[in-house]
Amino acid sequence: MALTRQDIQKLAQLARLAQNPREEEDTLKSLNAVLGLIDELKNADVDNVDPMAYVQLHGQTLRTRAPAAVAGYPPEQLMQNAPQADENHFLVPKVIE
Amino acid sequence: MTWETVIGLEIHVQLSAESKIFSPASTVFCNAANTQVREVDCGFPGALPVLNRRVVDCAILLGTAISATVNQRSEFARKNYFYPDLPKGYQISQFEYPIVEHGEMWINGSQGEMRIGVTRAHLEEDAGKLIHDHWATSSGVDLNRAGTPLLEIVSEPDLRDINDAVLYASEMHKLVRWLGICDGNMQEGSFRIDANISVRHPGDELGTRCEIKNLNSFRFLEQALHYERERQINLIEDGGTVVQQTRLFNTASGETRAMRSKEDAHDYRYFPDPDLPPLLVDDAWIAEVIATMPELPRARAQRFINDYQLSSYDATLLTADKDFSDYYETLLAQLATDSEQRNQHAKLCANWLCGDFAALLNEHKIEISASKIDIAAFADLMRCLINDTISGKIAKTVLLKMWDSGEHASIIIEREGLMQISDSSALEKIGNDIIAANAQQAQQYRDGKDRLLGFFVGQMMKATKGQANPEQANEIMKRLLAQ
Amino acid sequence: MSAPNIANCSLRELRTLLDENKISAPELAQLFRARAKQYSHLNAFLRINENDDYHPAAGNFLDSLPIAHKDIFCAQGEKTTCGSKMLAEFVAPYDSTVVENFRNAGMNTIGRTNMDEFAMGSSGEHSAFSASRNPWDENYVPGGSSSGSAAAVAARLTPVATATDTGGSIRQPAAFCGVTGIKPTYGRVSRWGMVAFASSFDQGGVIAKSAEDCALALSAMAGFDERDSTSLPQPAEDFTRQFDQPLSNIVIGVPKEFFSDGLDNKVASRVQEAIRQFEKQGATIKEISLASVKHAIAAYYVLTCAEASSNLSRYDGVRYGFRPTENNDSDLTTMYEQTRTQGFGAEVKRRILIGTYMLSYGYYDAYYRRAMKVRTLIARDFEQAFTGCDVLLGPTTPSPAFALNAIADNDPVAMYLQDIYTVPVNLAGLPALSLPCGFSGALPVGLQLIGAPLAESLLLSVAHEYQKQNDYHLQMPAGVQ
Repeated sequence: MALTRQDIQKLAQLARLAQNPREEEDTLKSLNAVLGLIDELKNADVDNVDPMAYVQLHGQTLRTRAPAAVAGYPPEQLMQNAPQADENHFLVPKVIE
Repeated sequence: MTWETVIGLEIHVQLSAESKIFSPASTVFCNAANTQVREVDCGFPGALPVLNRRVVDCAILLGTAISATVNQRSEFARKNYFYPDLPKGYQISQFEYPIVEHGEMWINGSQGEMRIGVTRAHLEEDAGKLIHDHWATSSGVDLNRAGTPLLEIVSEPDLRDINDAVLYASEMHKLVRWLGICDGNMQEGSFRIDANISVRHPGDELGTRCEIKNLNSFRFLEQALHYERERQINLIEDGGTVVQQTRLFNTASGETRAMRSKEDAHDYRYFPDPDLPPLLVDDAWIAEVIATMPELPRARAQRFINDYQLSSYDATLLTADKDFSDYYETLLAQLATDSEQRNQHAKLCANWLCGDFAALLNEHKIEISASKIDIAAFADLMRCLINDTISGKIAKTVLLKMWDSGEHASIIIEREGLMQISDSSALEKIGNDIIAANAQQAQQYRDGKDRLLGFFVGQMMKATKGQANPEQANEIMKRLLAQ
Repeated sequence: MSAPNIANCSLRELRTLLDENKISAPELAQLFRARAKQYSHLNAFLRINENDDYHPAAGNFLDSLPIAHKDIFCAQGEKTTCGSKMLAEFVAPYDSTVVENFRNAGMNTIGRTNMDEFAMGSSGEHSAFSASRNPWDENYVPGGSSSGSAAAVAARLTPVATATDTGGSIRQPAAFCGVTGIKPTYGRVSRWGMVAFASSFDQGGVIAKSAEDCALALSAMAGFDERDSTSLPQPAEDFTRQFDQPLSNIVIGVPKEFFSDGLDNKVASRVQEAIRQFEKQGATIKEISLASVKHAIAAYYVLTCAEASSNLSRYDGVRYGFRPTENNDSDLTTMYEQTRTQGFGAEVKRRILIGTYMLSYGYYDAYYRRAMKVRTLIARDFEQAFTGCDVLLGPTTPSPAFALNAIADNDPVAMYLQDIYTVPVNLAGLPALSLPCGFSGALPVGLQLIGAPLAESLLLSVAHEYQKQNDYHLQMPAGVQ
């Protein structure tokens, strides 16, 4: 099933990407081409097959760690890469809840 | 036309754990922003989550306490959305396969004993905090809270009454504190409630629900539900329809309003988190945790009723808080080693704990664990009452002094000479003096005005500053007046 | 010994030169740094260190030997760009386990290698910092995404380089550049501090001239790490421990699906020659079938794009990374959109959008869940194959290196099909390596060997036996002195 311009707009919105109409057209073409490749999955016979969400060699499962705490990063090191910061807070454009 | 309210609650319980759910940063509530943040909590490239064993223990405890299934296999999933307090752009939660399912809570509500189904309880990480009012054009992000372990407990939409909903929430609050998996501090956000509410005419299909987010007190829960119930009914009666949305409760106005940031319908794109293989909890792990589980409040209350012949009211009071309840049990154990004797004192101790002592704790707003009166000191006070060293009235005075100093009762009684006077010759002499001084009343008594006995006993208590053994005083005055 | 001769030395030979004081550790590093600068037009390196960067670890075999790191591994206090404008100025606040392990082994980091942005690409052309070039012909691509690591080893700018492989990003550039590269079993090498593309596929490994050098380096790199929940509990091992055993007990399976219509004739010939060579060395060759690998490309792109769309959500301009300064005072959504639209390259954005679609409401079952099931089928095929074979063999790529700009930006499918023989391995989490097996004209051809889980030692020993019988891995590109 081919994607439409509206689909692309919705996906871009979900992924927080902006596209002008020309880029949208390019994206539409290339995504539909990739979907053509992906749609091949329909041919696979997967009845009664369990999904494999993880590579679990030797039935590997989740390990847990001891609950003890360690010190946090010094804020100046934590924030050294921050695009915008003040008083040890990361700053973003004002949020209205 | 009557309206029926349908309520389901999602309770976010912040788990008592030293470190975060997927990072070793501390979870201690801290005011200095961004000081308790490790790589995972800041979502640094290449940072990976490792699960804290403690949070699984907490889930097992809760699951067992609500007679739920603790799933042998559960999975962590990613819930994807953008928000500045969400450092990775996704929240690690549980979706298709939660750790706890099919539980129940019992409440003594509008229909008597009521079973409220618990659909599921799942582990997830908390988000950070946004500060809105400090900068003119910016909001600030503090990630100290990001990654704090949460257990989200989701009830069935079984609640039909707002009072029952509040009761369910407060019972859950009591339970998680009792289990020691949450400090229950609602102001600091350790126990937050999202309420789903819809209205319908009885027998109709379920109405469209609204979700009121982040209620952090039982009073707000009650107010928000009342407001939202009225709003929905009025809307429908005026010909409108309820729109499914997320709403915020304004604590100042008591109203709810739609949340702007959640306006667009979300598509969270859940999928299994590839950084975390499935969590397997075997029988041995569950057994190990259950071995540490305290007797649950309802079971303990029933035992108090059966063994100590306490009233249901007293039993409920004595199991409202685990420390308080444990104090009571230890107190009884210190007073007597054999169970028969213990049962004899149970009612007396219950009265004093739930009465004067509870009143003092309430008045000073402190927890029992913070009181200066330790269990040995309280036991001493009870012993003085049991062996008639002091009267109940004097005991009240002694308790107040103990409250301030933490001293044992007998030390205070000894120092201040508050022992009960049980020497009958001394009391007889005082009695004769009183009769002589009140000859008129004595005559009236002898003429049949029985109730004047109280006056004479009162005079004796007054003359002995309350230290006369009340029973003895009664007996002696009666005998002397009859002469 | 002349500089080119030293640059072409194996790790063992370099060890001997150092131990016999024929060259000092700083001189050795300086030699490679000078070469890296001399061949800077290859764009193999994003940054070349000015000074030595090592702590001697006396007694360790790798002590003082030079290494280059793919710019995907965090190193505390150093830039880690992942080939993206998004992280162009990002200074990592912590060490990846891989960097830490090599530092503990005493290796001297000479620089950071170029790569396709966020490891997405099969040509090196998707780097935000200009494409690396293939040392065998500078008009050709070196492959990707570990483009710089493969090109640097091929041009003898470093004896060994770290790399990562999500769907062939070690093996394909190794094949295109005529060098040896191994992707270990999923979980062997810690992913802590390795910038994620698709978490259930990503695996660190190494590129070097020979299987022996790969084995020596991997021995320091691999091992259990409690900071990675998917790390395998196996302790570190000496991956040369199975070396120098005859191939007479080895059964090599040749999946017929790896010789499909799209395979270049010359590549097929070189691979057939390699098969005959193995036969001559005593191995048993057995044709087998992996029926489900025909779905591998489709399943691979569904799953990796989905994981990537989520993994790359953290690049939001809030805590680190690129943000257009004019968006400091805009509204939040605009800030997000402009940060991500300007910070990511076209291929990354394409994969994010595909992945978002794969996971979106109403499509999850048709795409994501179905692809996970196909993944099960492929893993089962391999499991079945290894009941009768020790190693599987085939071409690494359908063709030798292609020319720069040969595949248009807006033709992702042609680029994705480059991975057709490499992605099945990542779906199943298996170890695999690529080693040079001859040439197609002036361009090298790569041979792929695939092992059962944790069979790296066997895989490397088989490759080593092959390399004892020929010198493809020792040949240097004509343009390199």
